[in-house]
Amino acid sequence: MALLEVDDLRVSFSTPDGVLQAVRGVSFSVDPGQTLGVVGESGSGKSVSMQAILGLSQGARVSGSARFEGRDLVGMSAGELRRVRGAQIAMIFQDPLSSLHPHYRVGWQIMEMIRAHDKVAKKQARRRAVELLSLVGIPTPEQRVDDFPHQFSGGMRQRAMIAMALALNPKLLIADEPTTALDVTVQAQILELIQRLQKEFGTAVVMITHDLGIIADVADKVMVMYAGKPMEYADKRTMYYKAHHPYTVGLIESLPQQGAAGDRLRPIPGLPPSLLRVPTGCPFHPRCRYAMDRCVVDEPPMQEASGGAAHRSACWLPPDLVGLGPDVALRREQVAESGRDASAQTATVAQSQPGRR
Amino acid sequence: MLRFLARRITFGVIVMWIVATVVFVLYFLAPNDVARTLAGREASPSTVEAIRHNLGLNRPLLTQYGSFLWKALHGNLGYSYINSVSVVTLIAQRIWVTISLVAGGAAIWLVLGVGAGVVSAIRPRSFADRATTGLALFFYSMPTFLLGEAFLLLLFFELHLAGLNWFPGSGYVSLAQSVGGWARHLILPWLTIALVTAATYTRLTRTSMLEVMGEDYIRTARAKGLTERRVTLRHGLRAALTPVVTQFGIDVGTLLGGAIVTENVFGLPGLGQLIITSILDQDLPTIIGLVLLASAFVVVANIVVDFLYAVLDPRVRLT
Ligand SMILES: Nc1ncnc2c1ncn2[C@@H]1O[C@H](COP(=O)(O)OP(=O)(O)OP(=O)(O)O)[C@@H](O)[C@H]1O
Ligand SMILES: [Mg+2]
Repeated sequence: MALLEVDDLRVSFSTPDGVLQAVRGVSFSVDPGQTLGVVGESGSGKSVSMQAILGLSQGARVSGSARFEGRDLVGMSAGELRRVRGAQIAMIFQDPLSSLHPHYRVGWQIMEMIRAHDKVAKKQARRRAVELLSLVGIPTPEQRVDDFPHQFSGGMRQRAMIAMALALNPKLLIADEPTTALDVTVQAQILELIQRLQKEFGTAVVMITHDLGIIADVADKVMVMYAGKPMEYADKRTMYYKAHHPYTVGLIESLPQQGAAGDRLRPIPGLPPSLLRVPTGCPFHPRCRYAMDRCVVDEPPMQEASGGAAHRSACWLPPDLVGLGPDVALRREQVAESGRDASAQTATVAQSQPGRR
Repeated sequence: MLRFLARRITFGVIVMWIVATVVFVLYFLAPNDVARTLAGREASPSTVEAIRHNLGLNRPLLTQYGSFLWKALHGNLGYSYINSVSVVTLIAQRIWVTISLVAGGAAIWLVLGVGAGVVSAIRPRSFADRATTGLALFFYSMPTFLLGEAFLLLLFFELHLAGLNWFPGSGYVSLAQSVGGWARHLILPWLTIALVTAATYTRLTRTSMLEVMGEDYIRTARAKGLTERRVTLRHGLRAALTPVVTQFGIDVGTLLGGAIVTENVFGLPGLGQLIITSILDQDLPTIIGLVLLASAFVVVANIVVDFLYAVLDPRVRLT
């Protein structure tokens, strides 16, 4: 049975400019001990969807379901949800500099987490905090436990956050871009640490990132998000070698290490849409090389694609049209061509034009 | 830490010295007969002569200045000829009234103001928020004397007519005489000073809390599974208190020099009343003494605030 099973999750905020639909129907599942990678450009709803599951998105309207060990977290009472947070599902965040309270000692913050869920004595909680700090590789933890966050480096703070997150041996760790704010060598260390602890404790991980390179390192399954929706969902190998959705293909092609040296980077042109006014049809169509007529009006549902087991993609291109490379690109182009009605073609092009610039 | 204190105290001493010098220049170098002014309008010529001699007004200016500072440094603020008592004695008789008033009022306005600020920040734009903000604004824009008079009318006069003498209309009973009497005489002044001041704290706390509650570490606190109450108070309010502490230091420091309006409305014989009478009487030594004292309170309050800053926020270095 899946550890976490999210079905049709929707999150919206009412803003002065209208209702902002940050997450518009996300479904995925995470098995015990597994890692799900969630990728997408900035603003695609990665953070909001994970925070909404734990009731951490203030002022949001959340619908759908998120069953954790069979119990739906959406609509759970505040008290019940509080007991899940931290103890069963822990979370670490992008910016370790601002995620720890500047006025409290690091050890105290870890102890607070422990004592919020376990009725243990202060001494015991403190001993555990020291253990955890040493587990995540903080040198001389007996002394460092009494430091304030500003006395820690960025990497050490993220280690401390990880120590705190793992304090109660949670079944699921949600890591929201845990390395974005850190420099490259520290990034690698933190990822390694998360993976090592994951193996040691059998924790499942949801790894949010906009870096496909990180996904390649750590994920088992991958969900690609765009404008608040999943575009493609597959295991890692399928995603890298047999991607179906043009957005995923675009993301992979924009990776620097892709192709031979000297090959040009090909970033996806245009910008993601405003979530206040999502385009009709497929949200990606204004930026899509292969946009067809129906993409403008019909929103493609998540459908099976033939890249591998449980491969799903939200695109009208034929399900067997998977993979990278010039041959597939040519075939996609041909299909797209035939999917454009001559009379409507000019209209489609005109519509996509702003996005292409 | 010690270095910080030493530095701040040195700085405070310099400020006090500047204030004393300005006062000295204003009153002793003024182009009029200082002895005559000091003695008060109705003093006899012999008194004036005695004062002139006492003050050494015939001596060179620098000597006078030196002796003025020297005496002030030793707690000798001169002699009030009008009241026939030393200024220090005069102040000592009244300072506890002002301290009682300010301490009680401050406790009330801190709890009321910060509490209301937290309540309105928890749910911005809710009914509770609008109600507290409206109420805060009402008392904020209310002149102190008006609120004081209103309290007197409703809670003293009307109740008195109804045969209920719960709240005395004026006067002061010292804490040593009777704790109950002390509190009973001070409750209306406390409320007046607290309600007028609390609004500032409500707005400060609200703004500061709204900012803090959006911080990443608050999200972390929630993600840890803490109760909302703990998140709000231990994590939110704790971080939001810094500007409140500054304001509190300034307010208390200023009011300790004399809560002029409140003391006069309620007939409390404190420093504020002394300020008024000494100005009306042109009782210069007393005025000078009060100015120096008020400055000292502000200077000390500033040092205490800086010190509290460092206690509240470990990132602040006391150097
Ligand atoms: N409290 C909020 N009120 C209104 N809109 C919000 C709120 N929180 C998030 N949003 C909006 O929801 C959308 C999705 O945000 P989210 O933080 O999930 O993006 P993300 O995919 O995590 O991006 P990033 O990679 O930059 O972290 C954004 O457009 C954001 O502006
Ligand atoms: Mg994010």
